[in-house]
Amino acid sequence: MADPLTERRRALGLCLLLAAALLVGGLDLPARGYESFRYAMFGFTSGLLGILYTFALVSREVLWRPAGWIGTLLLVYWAAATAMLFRVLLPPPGLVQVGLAIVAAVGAGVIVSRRDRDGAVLALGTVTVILAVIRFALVPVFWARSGLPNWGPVRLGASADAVRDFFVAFAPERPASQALHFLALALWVIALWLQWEPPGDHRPAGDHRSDRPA
Amino acid sequence: MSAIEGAGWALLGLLTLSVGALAILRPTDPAGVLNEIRLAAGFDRYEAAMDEGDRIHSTVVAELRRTAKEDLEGRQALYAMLEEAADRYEIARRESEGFYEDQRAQIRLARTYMLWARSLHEDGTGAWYQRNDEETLRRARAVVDRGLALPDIPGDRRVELEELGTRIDRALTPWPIL
Repeated sequence: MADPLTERRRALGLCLLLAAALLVGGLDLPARGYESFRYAMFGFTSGLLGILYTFALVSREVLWRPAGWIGTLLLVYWAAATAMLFRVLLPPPGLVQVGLAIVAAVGAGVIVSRRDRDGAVLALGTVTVILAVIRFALVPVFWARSGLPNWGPVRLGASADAVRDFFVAFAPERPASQALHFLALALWVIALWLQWEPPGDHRPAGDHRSDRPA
Repeated sequence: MSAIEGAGWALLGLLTLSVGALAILRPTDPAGVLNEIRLAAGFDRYEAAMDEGDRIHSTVVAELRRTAKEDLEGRQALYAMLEEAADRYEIARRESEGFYEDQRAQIRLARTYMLWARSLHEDGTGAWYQRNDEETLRRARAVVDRGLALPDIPGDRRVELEELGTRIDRALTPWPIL
């Protein structure tokens, strides 16, 4: 039987890490304009994905959920921090985001279909890498190379901007922004890591291993 | 509950409150956050309001240089910032102790109104073959009048405002010769 006091303290530590991820993940450092920084909360799409993934991870017993109010509180912080993780990983609104949100939703189905916890975390990692590559590698290159000049009265540049915004309304950010967002992801992963071995009576059925995720 | 655990819960509350405050108040500059904290805490409110007004004013000056005249949305956002700057200077006036502090705030306020009205005047007047935007010009005139209503601004600033007001009136009149 796990000690309730220890459980509560452990849950508190996890909530602190997730709250820090929520705080850091929302900070953007725009490269243009007068704003030195901007805090952007997750939107509707990211929020829904956060709830979906929290449900999937809890159902696969990847996330430890203690009994009572502390379990509910922990679940709220997991859902909010996961939603922020998707805000960081999904590209800005546009057709590209639509496609990737569908990929992420399908990924939640894959997680639920995994039999073991390692497989579920691996599926989550794969979705994360796909989103990150498109968000941080593909979209900026597409944006930088798809502009057109204005030729006198023929304003091709404005037309090109409108077409680009239909695909992805990209707003360039300073390089330090990526470091902040990576820190938020790292805090989320540390929280996952620290709760990987649940207390005795919360250990998943048939899971007697104590190995941590790679 | 031990002291360390209590501190942990307090820290969690603080982090959660910070997230909520950042999401609702949407600050854009660390100096702005500090000034607003000073204003809210009532610590040297006059200087805090003046600093915040100056910060917003200088940001708008820099942004106006790189915002095209056709970018109406961008320019409206900058005018909203000038309104904020004017609000801060008004707070400074209310917090001032004595004539010189009040006059210092009024001079900054007049400078903000001058920038605002001049920019609106530029927006409202087009090329010779285009009709002037009378609504924008009337807004510019109203801003000039707010500046002229300040009682203790220096004479040269008042003259500048009056000259700008005259130019706006001419742009508003369909037959200037009348």
